[in-house]
Parts: sequence; structure tokens; C-alpha cells
Amino acid sequence: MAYVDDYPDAAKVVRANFGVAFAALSIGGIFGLIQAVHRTGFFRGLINSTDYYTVLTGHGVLLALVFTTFFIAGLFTWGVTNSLERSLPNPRLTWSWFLVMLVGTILATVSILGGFVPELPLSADVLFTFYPPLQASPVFYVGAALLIVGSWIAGLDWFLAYWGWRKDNDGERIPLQTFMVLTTMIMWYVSTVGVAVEVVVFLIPWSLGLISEVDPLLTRTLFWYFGHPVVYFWLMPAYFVWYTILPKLAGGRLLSDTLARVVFVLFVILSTPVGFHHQYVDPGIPEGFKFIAMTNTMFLLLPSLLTAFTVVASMEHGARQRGGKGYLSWLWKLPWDNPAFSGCALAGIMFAAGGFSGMINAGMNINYLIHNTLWVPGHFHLTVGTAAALTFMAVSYWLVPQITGKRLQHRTLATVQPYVWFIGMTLMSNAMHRAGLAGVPRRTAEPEYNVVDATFPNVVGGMGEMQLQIVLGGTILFVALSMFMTVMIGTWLAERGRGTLSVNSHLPPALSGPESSPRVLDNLKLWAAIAIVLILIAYGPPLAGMLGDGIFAPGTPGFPV
Amino acid sequence: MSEDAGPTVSRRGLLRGAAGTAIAAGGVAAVGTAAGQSGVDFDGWFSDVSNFDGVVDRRGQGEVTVEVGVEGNGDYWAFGPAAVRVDPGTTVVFEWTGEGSAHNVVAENDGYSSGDPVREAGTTFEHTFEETGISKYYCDPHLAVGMKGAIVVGDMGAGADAGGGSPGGISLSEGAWLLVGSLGLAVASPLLFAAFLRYRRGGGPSGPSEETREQLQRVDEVDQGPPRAEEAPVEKPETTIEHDEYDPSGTLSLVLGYLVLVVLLWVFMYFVEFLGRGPTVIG
Amino acid sequence: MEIHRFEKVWIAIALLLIVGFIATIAYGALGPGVKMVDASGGTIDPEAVAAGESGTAFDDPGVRQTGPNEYDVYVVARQFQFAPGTSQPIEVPAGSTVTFHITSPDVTHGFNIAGTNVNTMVIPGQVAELTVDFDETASYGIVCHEYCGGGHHTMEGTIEVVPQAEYDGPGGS
Ligand code: HEM
Ligand SMILES: [Cu+2]
Ligand SMILES: [Cu+2]
Repeated sequence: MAYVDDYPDAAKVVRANFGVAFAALSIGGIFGLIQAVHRTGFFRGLINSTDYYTVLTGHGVLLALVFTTFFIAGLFTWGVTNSLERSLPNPRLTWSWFLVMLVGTILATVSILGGFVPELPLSADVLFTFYPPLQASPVFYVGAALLIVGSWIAGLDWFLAYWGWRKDNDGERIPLQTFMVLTTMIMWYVSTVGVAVEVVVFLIPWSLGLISEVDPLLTRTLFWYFGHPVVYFWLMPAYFVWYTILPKLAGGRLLSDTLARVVFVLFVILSTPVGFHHQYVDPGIPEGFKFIAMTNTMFLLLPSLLTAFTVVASMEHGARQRGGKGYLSWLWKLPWDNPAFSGCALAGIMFAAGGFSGMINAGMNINYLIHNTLWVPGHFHLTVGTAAALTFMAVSYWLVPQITGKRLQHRTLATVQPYVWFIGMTLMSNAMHRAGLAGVPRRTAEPEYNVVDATFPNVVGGMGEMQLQIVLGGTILFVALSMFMTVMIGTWLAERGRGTLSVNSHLPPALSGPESSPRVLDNLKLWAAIAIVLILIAYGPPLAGMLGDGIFAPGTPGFPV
Repeated sequence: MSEDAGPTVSRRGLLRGAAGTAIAAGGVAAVGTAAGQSGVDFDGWFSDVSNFDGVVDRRGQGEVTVEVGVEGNGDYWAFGPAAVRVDPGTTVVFEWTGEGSAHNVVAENDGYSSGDPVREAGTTFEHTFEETGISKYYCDPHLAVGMKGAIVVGDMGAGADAGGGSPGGISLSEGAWLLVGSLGLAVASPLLFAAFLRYRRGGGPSGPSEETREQLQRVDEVDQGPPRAEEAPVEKPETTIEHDEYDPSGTLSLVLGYLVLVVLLWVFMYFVEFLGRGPTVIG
Repeated sequence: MEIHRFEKVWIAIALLLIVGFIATIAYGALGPGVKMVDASGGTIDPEAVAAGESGTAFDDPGVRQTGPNEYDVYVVARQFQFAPGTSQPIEVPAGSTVTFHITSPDVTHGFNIAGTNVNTMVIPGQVAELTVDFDETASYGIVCHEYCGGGHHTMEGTIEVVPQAEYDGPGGS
């Protein structure tokens, strides 16, 4: 009996979500490759440089927003039903959020792709951050809003399942996976308010011509109110996998249930009052607010550093249970040939590197060094682009057989795929970091100087060497992505229910279980309240300052792109 | 005017078909120049101007209007029309549309200039062209995206088709279709591959692997109802280690190693790369 | 609550690391005196800047001398040009203290003197104000590092820090 037989309805929902996620991943990956060859000057014949920004918008939206959100929705649907051992309460509600998200995605995607066809009135070359006064077609903003609204309903669906479970299980601890889903969603509700206000109150009416002007700094601030928590919305599901599935894949058990809960609570509390760290070099924001955001951000390192310990220790536990010995030689006892394991582990290693470049980003004044340079994409391809994306791919090798009832196909391909991704990302990301230190900007079709006579300063490694590594890395990444898609589609189309699945779903309990962790950790209302108070402290005064001269001032009309 | 437009359009039709191939063959489509064509030789001036569509004949008019900020070059970054032919002594009135942010008009040979870029719709700037020849001009902020124009004064090269453009505007559109096509193909390719695999499994002689076939048989024997997935057996640990007997010493050494690395890199980045380099904001 | 003693050690070290980071940043602000761009530049009506009627120095951007070895540089960053910076370089003498005032009449831009730590966003409605010491003769490229429309990749400029002796005063706009 696998998940697909126990919860056939939920399995269908998970499959639908994964299907959309993987389609977005494929298209986004092709765009990524185009960017890599275009911006390095390797091959610019496929698109012209103005269309580069259409491609880049597609890449950012499809990968950072669509792929992640749909995959997470599928993963969380599985996590809630699996750990509560009950199906979702209302199938109609479940399909309605999926449809709302899907319609939103289609609207946004169509309006972005419309940018390729100048004859069409649709276009949305605004990048996934859509800063006004760059103005997209209203279709894009409506699509983005629907995607978020759909995710809200999804959260409600999971909460309803939890409340139903609570009625029958009074006094019990929230199962760990459900706890992680609920805390993630609390953070999501609190933080998406920012972008929802930005889009619904300002951008949609403005793009429809109902209001003539918006305040660029205010809308930007609302975006980043949401923009940092969203990176935790990508990361917490990866942590969910690392805490609850990875130990099992390694042959061990989670070291501590308590610390896992503490980590997620810290994320709820600290993820939002840090958004100004994306605006360290914005004019119009007093330095004091930036400093507060910086200290909060630094303390937000704590849950990730704790995670590093707990997760590695759980893997070590597995290795030792498999007969591993010595200080470090146990590492060889880990199942490196199981792609679900190796993908998560390699994602974790890359996250350690991305964590370091994130510490630099977080360092307020040192942010001058790298702000908006290629360093930044170098950083987040290690975090969302690998820690989250590679973990999602890896867990698919384990989960997709369970939700389809089909044996994983092309196992050899799957076994090497995480390593191929790792190599590609090592090449692309390190070169991006170094090029950033030379001042090469991000989000630029032709980063070389064409109009004026200047050159970028020399850094370790020449510009040519870095460009080559970016192209090579990007190509290898694309190959890894194609391998993943081949395995997934092959599995999806394989025959159902024949033979044993190559996986089993048993998740062993933590070494130190919930019985020894304080009950207050499960008090979700308390943590939500603390989060809101901290947000009011961090955002109240600066927002009041920006609103002081009127909500639309200083205002600018739209510049359609 | 219409005599000019006719042949231009039909040649473009041909180009349209060829452009896709040309782009695929290495993006050489943008090189189309006036080589070998009669008419006015703009010397590549219009090679990156998407709205250039031959020279529009406005001879016989004392005053000619050129719009500043018409659609082209990816936004409202174009002069409309991009190239006009006037009689000597004609006054050309440049009239701002208000679209596409701030523009100006600057002669390539510095002979005239409207000054700093402005955006205001209805702004005008006039210049009277006395000497025969080609006067090229551009918009300063949007020169690099191809906001360029030219006034052809007099009859030079008239009658024949004025070439010199390139399928810049077309290549954009063609590139788009090519992109959409290749995207579709790329997305579909794993699907096709998987469909092929399935087809082969279903009917082909190679069929499922040895291992799968055995399992299939086993399942077929047991299973009469709807197919059910059977999970792999749970992996049994070699030794079982409980919480109190477990010291993650390897983990501690790994995280401490990471810590040392991070501290060293931080010091290097902060004091060498950041504070050690060039001007910094101090106020 | 069962927390392994190694994990307690790690929590303590992690907190120490965090405090160390914050201390380094505070040192950077207090010691070498690195300042963040802030609200000191005030706000401005972007449409007035676009029309050249803001009643400020942005109507005639360029370099101004404000004291011995002190200069103000007003820069208008617009789609796709720094004025001054793109058509003609920004020229200042070595050994001077320069305060940049930068704003945008249209969309959000970036201003980064590549290879230095002079880096700011340029947001319509806001004036970015940054003071910088240029000690040595040098020639720098400026890049717009925020996507600002289809010609973003062409938005570049230069700044020339020339020897004191060769500097012949602010050339105006
Ligand atoms: C095939 C693999 C990939 C390649 C070759 C690739 C390549 C690139 C490149 C070269 C850029 C920089 C563009 C620029 O700033 O000019 C970029 C940006 C970006 N990538 Fe990727 N990428 C890949 C996968 C991913 C994945 C898996 C994610 C996230 C899940 C991702 C998220 C992003 C985001 C959010 C941006 C920034 C977009 C923006 O600045 O608006 N990428 N990518
Ligand atoms: Cu222009
Ligand atoms: Cu720009």
C-alpha cells in the first residue's frame, strides 16, 4: 500500500501540482540557458537584447514564483495528509485553490510571453520584482494576485484538515510535518499582505488607469515586506524535507523534534521584520531602520545554523546506524547512490556556501560592495536555485513513485542527476560571485560597456574565464534539468501498480521526540501575535514616514514595458 | 511615396521567410545592408532601427513634421518616419508625442540640437535644411537602442528604392517565433521521448527489463483486483543507536570547520575586499 | 527538554558569530565611517524633474564647486542615460570630497561606480545623496544596475578623477 492507494484524492492533487511545477521548471530552465549564453556574449542570435528582459521575467516568475509555489502546495498537501493520517476535508475546496493558482499562472505567463510578439497588446517585461513605475499589462498583475490568493486558500485547506484532526485528538502534539506546514503558512499569510496591498490597492488600478500615479518607494517597500519572507517560503519546505525525510533516507532518525520546532517558530517570528535589508542602498529610508533590519537579519541566521547542526547530526546518525565509524569516515557510509538522498545532501552543501554569501548580503554597509551585481544571482542560485530546487527534485525521486504508484524509471539517470546539477551550479555560481565583485551588474542583457569607453576592474580570474564558466555551468545545469524531466515523465507514463516501488514511506520518529519538547511551541497563536508585534515595530514608523506626504506621492505615472 | 513602399514591402516578405533560417544559422540576419542596392546609402545608420521602412517622400512641401517618440525599437523609442526626403529649404518640425520618456534631437554632425531631453507632449523643435545631402540625427538617451533618423535633402538617389535598412524589426518578431517554437519543442521533447518509451514497452519486442518482468509476473499471480502499489521493504539498521548513546562528534567537527571557514572569509571580504578597496560612501 | 550538549555548544558559538558580524558592521560605520544612503536627500516631484522645472539644481545637472576641494555633482538618471556621465564624463579633481545628488525623472535606476563601493538605487521621487572622497587619479565606469526598460543594457557612464593641476573647474552641464 502506498500513498496513492491510501489517499487517492489527495494523491491526485499532489500530482496536479507537481505537474504544473515541473512544466514551469522546464520552460524556466530553457530561459535560464538562453540568459547564460546571451549575457555572456556567447551567442546572441536567438533573441535580441530587448527581448532578454522578457526572457528574464519569464525565468524569474516561472521558477521563483510558479515552480516553487506549486511544488510546495503539492508537498504540503502530502505532508499534511500523511502526518495527520487523514485526507483533506473538502475536495471541492482543494480543487478550487488549485484552479485559482493555475488560472493566475496562465494569465501571468501569457502576458509575459506576449512580450515576444510586439503585435499583441500584452506584455509584462517587469521582471519578477515588478517595481513601478515600470508597468505591466493588468493581466499580469491579476495573474500574480490570483496565484497568491490561491495559495491562501490552500493554507486554509490545510488548517481545516488540522482543526478536524484536533477535534479527534485533543491534547496531542501537532505532528511535526503538519506543524511545519502550519508555521510556514502563518508566515506566508503575514507576509503576503504586503504584496497583496501593493498589487490590489496600487498596481491593478494603476495599470487599468483608475489611478494615475503611484509612489515608487512605497510600492517597492511593500514588495520587500513580502520579498524576504518569500525566500523563507521557498526554504522552509526544503527544511521540512531535510528534517523529516532526509534522516530516514540516510538510514537514521531526526536528532531532536524540539529544535526542529524551535527553528520553525524562529522563522515565523523573524522572517518579516527584515525586508529592509533588500533596501540597504535605497534613498528615502533612514539609516536607523536599516540598522534594525540588519540586526534582525543576523539573528535570522540562528535557525539556519541550528538546522545545519541538527540535519548533519541526523545524517551522521544514519551513517553510524549503517555501520559508519570514525570522525569523518562515516560520510562514506551514506547512501550516495540514492538520488533522493544525494540530492538533498548536495543541496545542503551548496546552501552552506550560499549561506556565506548571504551573510555578506546581510551586512548592511558591505552590501555596497555587491548590491545588484552578478554576485546576487550567484547567491540565490545556491539558495532557491539549489537548496530549494535541488531538494525538490531529489524528494520527487522518493515521492513521485508514492503519489503515482509507479516505479521510478531511468534510475541510472536519476542517480547521476544531482551530481550533474552540483557541478553545473559550482561553475556558474562561483563565476557569478566573482564577476559581481568586479562590478558586473545583474539583470543586464549586455553587461559589457558599449556606449562609453570603460572596462571592469580586474579581479581573480579574467572576465573571459568567468563568462566561460557561466556558459558551461548553465549548459550543464540545463542538461541536469533535462535528465530530471526525463525521469519524471518516464515515471509518470510508466504502468501503474506493477511491481514494488523502489521506495518506502516509513518515517521513523525523532530520537528525542515531541514528548520532551515544551508544549508552548505548539501555541501557534502566540507566535503569530509576536510576529505581528515585531512587524509593527519594524515597519510602522518607516511606512508612516512614507505615507506622510500622501499615499500616492511622490508619484509617477506608468512606463509600460 | 507609394512607389517606395511597394517594393520594400514585398522584399521584406521574402526576408521574413529567410530570416528565421538566417537566425538559426548564426544570427547573421542583422547584417542586411545597402550593399549592391541602388538608392540612398545610409552607411549602416539604420541597421539597428526597427521602424525604418524606406525613405518617405515629402518633396514639394514647405514644412514637414517628424514625430519624436513613435513606436519602435522595443518601445516608443523611434522617430516617425525614420527617414524622409525633402526639398532643399524645407523646415522640418520635430514634434514630441510624449511617449517613451524623454527624448531630444541631435544631429550626428553637431549641426543642430534640441538641447536636453524632454518628455512633454507637443514640444517642438524646428530646423531648416538648406544643403542637399543626408542629415543624420538621433535621440541622445536612446541612441543605443536605435532611436535614429535621417533627412534626405534633395533628389539624390530618388526614384530607386531606398535600402540600407535591415530586417531589425522582423528579426525581433522572427526570433520570437523561433523562440516559441523551440520552447514548444523543448517542452514536448521529453514527452515524446516518454511516449516513445511507453510505446516500445507496450508493443515492441524489447519490453520491460528482466527485473520488472519478474515482478510483473509475481504481481499478476497474486493480484486480481485493481493494481496496487507495493512499497519497498523498510531498511533495517545494522546497529540501532538511541539518543543517549549518540554523540554527533563528526557533525560537531564539520560545523566547527564551517565556522572557521566562514569567519576567515568574512574577515577577508570585509577588511580586504570591502574596506580595502576604492572610494566608499562616507556621508 | 533534551538538547544534546554539543548542540548547546553550537548554539552558543552561533550566537557569538552573529554578535561578531553585527560588531564588524558597527565598526565599519563608526571606524572608517561608512554611511548608508538615507533620507537626507529628501523627496522631489519626478514629473517636475522630467520637465526641467523642479526649481532645483537638477534642472541644470552637473558638477558644482562648493568649497575648497568640495564639489556637488547633480546627476539625472533617465532611460537610458546619466546626465552628466554618459554623453560627457563626470569630471572631478583628485583629492576632493564629492557629494552626489542623484534622482530619476522616469523609472527606477541604479548607480554604481564599478569596482568601488559607491552604489545606490535611484528611485523616482527620492534624491540619493552620497558623499565620497576621491583620493587618487582614476577613470571609472558607471553602470545602471537596475533594470529600467528595453535599453537598460546601454545605460552607462564614466567618471574621470583627474590630477588637481589638470582640473579646470566644473564645466557646468
Ligand atoms: C537551468 C538552470 C538555470 C540557469 C542556466 C539559470 C541562469 C540564470 C542566469 C544567467 C540569471 C541571471 C540573469 C541576469 O541577471 O541577467 C538568472 C537569474 C535568475 N534565476 Fe536562474 N538559472 C537556472 C535555474 C534557476 C532556478 C532553478 C531558479 C529558482 C528556482 C532560478 C531563479 C532565478 C531568479 C529568481 C533569477 C533572477 C531574475 C531577476 O533578476 O529578475 N534559476 N538565472
Ligand atoms: Cu529617446
Ligand atoms: Cu538601467
